[in-house]
Amino acid sequence: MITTRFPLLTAVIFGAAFLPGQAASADEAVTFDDNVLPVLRQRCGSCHNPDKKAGGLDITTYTGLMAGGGSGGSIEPGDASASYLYRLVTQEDEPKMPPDSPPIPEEERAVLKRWIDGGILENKGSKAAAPKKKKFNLAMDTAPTERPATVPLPAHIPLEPAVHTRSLNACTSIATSPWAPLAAVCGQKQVLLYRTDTRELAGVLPFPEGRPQVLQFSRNGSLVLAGGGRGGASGKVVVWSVDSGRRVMEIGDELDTVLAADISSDHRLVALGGPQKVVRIYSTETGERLQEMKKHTDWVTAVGFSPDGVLLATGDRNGGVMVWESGTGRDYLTLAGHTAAITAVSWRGDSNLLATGSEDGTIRLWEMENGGQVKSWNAHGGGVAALEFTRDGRIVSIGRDKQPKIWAQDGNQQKAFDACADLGLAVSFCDETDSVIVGDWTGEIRVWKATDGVRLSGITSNPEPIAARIAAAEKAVGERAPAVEPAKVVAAEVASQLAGMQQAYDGLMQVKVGADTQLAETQKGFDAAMAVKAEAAAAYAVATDAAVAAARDLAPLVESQAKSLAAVAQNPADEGAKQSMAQVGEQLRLQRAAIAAREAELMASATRMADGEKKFAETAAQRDQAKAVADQMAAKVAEMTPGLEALKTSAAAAATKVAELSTQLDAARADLARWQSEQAFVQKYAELTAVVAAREEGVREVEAKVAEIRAKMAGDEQARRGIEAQRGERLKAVEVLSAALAAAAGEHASLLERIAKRQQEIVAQQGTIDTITKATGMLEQAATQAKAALDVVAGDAELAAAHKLLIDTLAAKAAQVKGMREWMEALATERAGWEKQAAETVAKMEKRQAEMPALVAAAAEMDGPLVEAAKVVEGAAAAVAVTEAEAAAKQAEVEAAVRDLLTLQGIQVPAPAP
Amino acid sequence: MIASILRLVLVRDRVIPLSGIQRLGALLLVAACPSVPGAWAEEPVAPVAVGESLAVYPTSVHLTTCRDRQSLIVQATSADGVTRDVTGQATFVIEHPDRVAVEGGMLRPLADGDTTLKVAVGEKSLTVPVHVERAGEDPPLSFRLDIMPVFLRAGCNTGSCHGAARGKDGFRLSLFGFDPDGDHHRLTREFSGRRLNLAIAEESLLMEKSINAVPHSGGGKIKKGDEYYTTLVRWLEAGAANDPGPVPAVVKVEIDPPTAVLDGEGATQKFIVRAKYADGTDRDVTNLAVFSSNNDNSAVIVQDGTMTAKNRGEAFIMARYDTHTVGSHVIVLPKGLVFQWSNPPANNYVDQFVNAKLLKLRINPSELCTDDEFIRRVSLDICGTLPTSDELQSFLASADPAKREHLVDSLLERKEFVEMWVMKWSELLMIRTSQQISYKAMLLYYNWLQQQIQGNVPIDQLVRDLLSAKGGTFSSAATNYYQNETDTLKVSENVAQVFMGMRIQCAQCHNHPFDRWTMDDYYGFANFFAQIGRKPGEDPRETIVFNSGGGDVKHPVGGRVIAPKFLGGDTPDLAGKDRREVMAAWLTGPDNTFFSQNLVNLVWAHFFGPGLINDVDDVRVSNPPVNKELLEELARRFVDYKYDFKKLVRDICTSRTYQLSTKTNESNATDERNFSHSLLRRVRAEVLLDMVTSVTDTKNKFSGLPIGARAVQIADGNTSTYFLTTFGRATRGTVCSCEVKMEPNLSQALHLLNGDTIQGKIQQGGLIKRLLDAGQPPEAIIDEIYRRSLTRLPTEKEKEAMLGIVREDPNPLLALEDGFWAILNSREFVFNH
Repeated sequence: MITTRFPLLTAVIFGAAFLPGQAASADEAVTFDDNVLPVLRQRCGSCHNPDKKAGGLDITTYTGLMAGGGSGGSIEPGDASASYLYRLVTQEDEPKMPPDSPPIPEEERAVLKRWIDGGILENKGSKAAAPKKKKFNLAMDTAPTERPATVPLPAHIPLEPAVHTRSLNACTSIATSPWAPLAAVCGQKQVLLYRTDTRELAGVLPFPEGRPQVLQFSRNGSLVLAGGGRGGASGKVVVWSVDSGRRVMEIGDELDTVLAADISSDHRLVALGGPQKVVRIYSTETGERLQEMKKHTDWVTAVGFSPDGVLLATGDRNGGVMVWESGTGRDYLTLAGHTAAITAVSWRGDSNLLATGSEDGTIRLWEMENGGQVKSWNAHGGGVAALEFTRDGRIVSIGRDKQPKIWAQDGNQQKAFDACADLGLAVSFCDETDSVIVGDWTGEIRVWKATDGVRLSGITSNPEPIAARIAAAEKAVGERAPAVEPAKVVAAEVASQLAGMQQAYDGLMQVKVGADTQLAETQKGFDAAMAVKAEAAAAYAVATDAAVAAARDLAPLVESQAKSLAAVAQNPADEGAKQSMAQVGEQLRLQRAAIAAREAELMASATRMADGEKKFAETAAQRDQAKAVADQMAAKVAEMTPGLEALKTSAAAAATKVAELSTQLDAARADLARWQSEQAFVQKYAELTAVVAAREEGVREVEAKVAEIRAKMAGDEQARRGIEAQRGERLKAVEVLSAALAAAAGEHASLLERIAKRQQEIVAQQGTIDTITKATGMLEQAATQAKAALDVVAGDAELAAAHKLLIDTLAAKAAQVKGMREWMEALATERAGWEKQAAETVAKMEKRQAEMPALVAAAAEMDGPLVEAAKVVEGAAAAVAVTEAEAAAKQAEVEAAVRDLLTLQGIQVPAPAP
Repeated sequence: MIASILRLVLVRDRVIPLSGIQRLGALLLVAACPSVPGAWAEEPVAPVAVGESLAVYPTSVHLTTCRDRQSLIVQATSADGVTRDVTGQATFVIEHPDRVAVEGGMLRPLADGDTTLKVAVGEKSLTVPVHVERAGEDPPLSFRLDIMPVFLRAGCNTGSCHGAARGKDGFRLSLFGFDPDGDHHRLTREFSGRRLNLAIAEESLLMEKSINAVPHSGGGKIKKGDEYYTTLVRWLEAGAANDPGPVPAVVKVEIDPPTAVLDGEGATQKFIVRAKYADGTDRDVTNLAVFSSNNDNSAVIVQDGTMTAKNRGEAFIMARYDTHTVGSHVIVLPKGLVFQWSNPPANNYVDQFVNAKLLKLRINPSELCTDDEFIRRVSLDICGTLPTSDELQSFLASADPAKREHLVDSLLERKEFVEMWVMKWSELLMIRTSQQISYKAMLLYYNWLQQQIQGNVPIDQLVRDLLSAKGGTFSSAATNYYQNETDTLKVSENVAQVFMGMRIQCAQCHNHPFDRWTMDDYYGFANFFAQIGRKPGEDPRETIVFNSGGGDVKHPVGGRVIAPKFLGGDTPDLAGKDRREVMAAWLTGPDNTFFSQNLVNLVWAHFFGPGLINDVDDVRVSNPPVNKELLEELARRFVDYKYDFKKLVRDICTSRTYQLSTKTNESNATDERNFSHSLLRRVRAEVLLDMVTSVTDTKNKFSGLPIGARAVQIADGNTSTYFLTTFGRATRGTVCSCEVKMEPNLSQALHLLNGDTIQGKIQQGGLIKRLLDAGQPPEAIIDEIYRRSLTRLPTEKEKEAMLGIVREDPNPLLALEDGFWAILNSREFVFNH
């Protein structure tokens, strides 16, 4: 389908061959109408058309495509690799489109990519659509980790392999130091350190726990970590110091091997995971487990702390990736996307980007703000096995397609190296030497220079034992040494032959030089003669020419004379003719004179020439003689030269051979010496290590003793406390008794007080009663009087009322008095009770008083034992102090031994604190 | 050593006096074969007696490469057929001791060449030719030939372990090893670096798990240092390589001895297994085969191949190797059984074969059944009807010695015989209406079948027509077979199950665990049905089935196309042919004994209850026929009869075996499988309903059939009644023989007792009333009821009891109807006996 806009010529030329989507020229914008629709109609239109709408998608119109299908929008403006449509068409995602067919042609995919990346223009008039989601800026922030002041490298770590096997096993992990030209590769029950610049073995770190499955350097490169163990049985993580190769910690106690582990940049946390599906975080200081995350549904296969230590990324065999807060163990992000087992996670140096590799063949990049997938690309057919961010933000990876690759972080492949012998399993990039180190299924480790792709050699996961190396070196020395002397003899012989021949040659040369000189001299004469001869000949020629010219000039004159003679003869009268004849005669005479002169000259010249010829002949003979001599000599020299040259060559060869053999021998000797010294070192190292171990054992013993004594002291202390408590109890009993006594005394006093008070009250009551009684008497009197008056004035109501009032009052008073008396009696009864109580209290007090001395004595009894016990405790404490001091001393011994060891290894050890 | 030999001889001296020669022989034996006496000392067994015959397995030995081994079994058979394993008593002498070494009955190659092995037990001896080649060669271990068999033997790839669909504890192997490449991949490269350690092979997780050195859910499957362990380690040390190319396939597996008759509990017999390969080599795979017994109650076998007899009975000892399962037939007799063979007569070849088997088992068959039992049994079996009173009376009255044969002949000529088999075939062909099959199409299909059987079309012809049917489902009704089931794989499964009695479903996803069928076999067979084209006909209810001529079924492992291949047969040339026609011709052809044997087995099962292979559609190596010779003979004759059913049925029904009584004797009381007596069989649903209907003189109305039609005549599998469903009528939804349910159950009993069928029909038919009205006395009516229903006269006791009730009851009609009801509810009525 050719658009009318397109030039007719192009259409004619390319129309038949060209695929439907007209590729716009590189700078021309790709639009839906012009470029994309033809592709989509041809490739997808038979299903995704307005009538069929497979999957609810219609691609025949721009709006239809933008509306998307049943699974939502299919295009991410500006980012083809994130667009569902593009991923299906490139068959990076399921369902592959077109179904059951190979992908559409590369050029057409490129059209789609350019169109989406260019902002999905509908036609030439449209504006580029803004990306739907904020595009993640791939630019790297500055990395939080700086190059350490001193770059940690192994000082001198023993090179004796823990295990040497007949054949290799799959190499599952390789790590490189972030700051040093150093790589760690996994071996059998050991981790091997290699210098990446020289590719020489730099240390063997034994891992008797089993097979190391994962290796990591700490962020500053000072520690190296290995996780592994025995499949189905046990697993742990071991951390070594890079400079000394000493084990600094052992962490974890898994029931299956550790498959993935990492140490945080501050060296405080170690995270590990494995077939148990659990991620555990341990404190490196205490070795205690801090967090346990049980969210993975399958084996944990990848673990990595972010370089800033804030986050921890983990991946599992089911394709799940989780990001956790490393400090709290809380889940932070779940990164869903991979469809098969995760094989690797790697953080970019600035902690903002995480790369994950999976058996689904893709590498995916994730940003850490929302966990969005930034990029995804098919990196290795069959599956990605390992990947790593380089320091400058590129990615190196390896997978089942066996080919190590380097990617820019936008997913563009920058470099691919030759395929490995079998599945690639491990990869690391050494930033210091710009090299890629790859391990494969066969156990072979390959190294490439990243810049020029040159393959380097030297690293193996199964190094030779030192004894074998010594044997090899000895064999080399033994093989090479005998060859050197004969070679020297041969060289000397050849040299002496050469000297003799040279002498002869030199003599000959001398003669030859004489002859040559002679030749040169005669030649000189010859040359001079030749010059003279030539000159004479030239002169003769000139003279001859002159003579010939003169003779030639004579003929017309003669003719003129003849003519003039004839003229005169014809007309002798003609004066003019006579004059003319005379002139001609004169001229002829003159000419004849000239001819004569010329001939004379010619004769003289001929003579000179003859002389010259003669001289020439003489000198030529001389020269020829000299030449013959010289030629003879030259021939002789020429005859001798090849022999001499040959001899020279063979002499040189013999000398070279001697030099070569010597160098080889020296190298072999050096090698031998090196490995012998290494063996000595290893022996020494082993001795010192044994010393350290023994002393550590001593420390442990003393520490055990300390613990024992401490335990005893604790027992003693407890006994003492028991006694003290008992004493305290007894003292307390005394106290209690005293208190009771005091209380009783107080009570007694208060009773007495109350009794006294009550007495006063009784007395007062009595007084009141008396007063009332007195008043009653007066009232009675008044009443009597009133009665009497009433009797007199019977019926006087007022009087009667008064009388009644008086009577009533009297009755009331009588009642009051009665009440008061009763009250007083009650008070008296109470007082009597108090008095009794007081008496009892006194009795009690007396009784307790009597108990008192016994209690006091009992309390005093405990004083002695208490002092005793205190003494025992003190003694124990002293013993603790002593053994602790002993322990400290032993510890110092250990430290000294370690110092010795470190010194042996050539590590600067700070002097022990005084 | 000598002392122990002397002691041994002394002991033997006391027990069984040894002749001087024997003593000398014993000493020589021990001297010649220093490693054997252990077996001697344990179990002193009498040397081969006079009359015993000797056999050595295998009969010839081929040793190829220095790794090859061959163990030998020596078996003595007494005149009465009892066998003993005398391998331990045998002396083995090699003619050229420099070529072959023998130790404990095991041969080992030394140098190339031929020689013979002389095997002697007592005074009897046999020679075995031995051939050795490539004795100096130790070929590298092969993943398929050496490693995969270890997984099978150790049980690693069973369905409950790593052979499960999702594997076990993260590691998967293909079930019984159907996918060696996948297994190699998963083992070596799925989780590289975990399962194998090629540097230190013994520390591979594979090895540590297999010996349980690290925790393993399956426990220790092999032992450190045993031959399996060393084989695996050797393979790992050699780099755990896959086979570079195809390896010779196992073409045959043999188990020896092929049969054994053991005398009493505790007797033992060792078995050896040998595999033959496509390249002509063979191999002793006793140590790699998986042994099992189908009857642990009689014979238990341990994995070294030693079987121990237990209780009386029969067992089939099976050995599985590669995809092959083979079996050996074992009979266990009680120790010192006293048995008197009754020497029963044989009516025909059926009896000869059955009796031969019974003699082996020391079982006497029952007596013949009575005439009334016979006429009832044979009428129900052949025609699905009860004999009428008249038929019964005339049969009983006949004095013709061949009256039973004549009865069979006459029954075979009746239309009910045809109807019976139309019904049976309708079940096998699943004739019923469905989404795909309209009522009309179903009816046409049924009519077609009926015409075929009525017309006595030979079954092979019928099946050929059916399977290669083309055309419209109306115009060519047999094409409905391909409408019933449109899924290619299910069609092929159905064909295998119905016409060959084989269930090959397992092999769809993995090699058949109990049979020889591999996935390749399955998809090869299924591919015959891959080109069935279907298109709509003019009538919307009609579909046209045609040969599309294109398309293939793909093997799920690797998506390969397996060329159409007959089950257990060749890959035919199909160019330009209709695959189904080729397949149908092979299926019904003379080379395919599965077909004829399956058909005769179906017929046999109809007349006896269990089939010679039971279930009839479960033919497999591990489910052998109870009487292989009989099955083969029946099939052979059936082919000779040109697949004429009637002749076959006649052979069966006139045999004495068919006519045996259900009453057992002392020797056959526990036998249920060898046809030593007749079995009680519940009558199938349709026949039972027809029986009830006929004895009550009533009529039924079924959908699509005229009133009075028999239940046997129902065309549509979907037509049913409560009665038929309760008694287990086939719904014809599947081809399984289990569709027809013959097990009695409570709802059946309750339906007869309380349901409306019996009572309703008695009322409806009015038989008793008619008889009473006709002036019949109660005695006669009772006799009539018995004759009609149970095909016999009542016993005196029965008659008295019933008469008593009738006399007591003022209403004799009710009493007699109750009696009738009771008879129809009796077990005797419901069962064929």
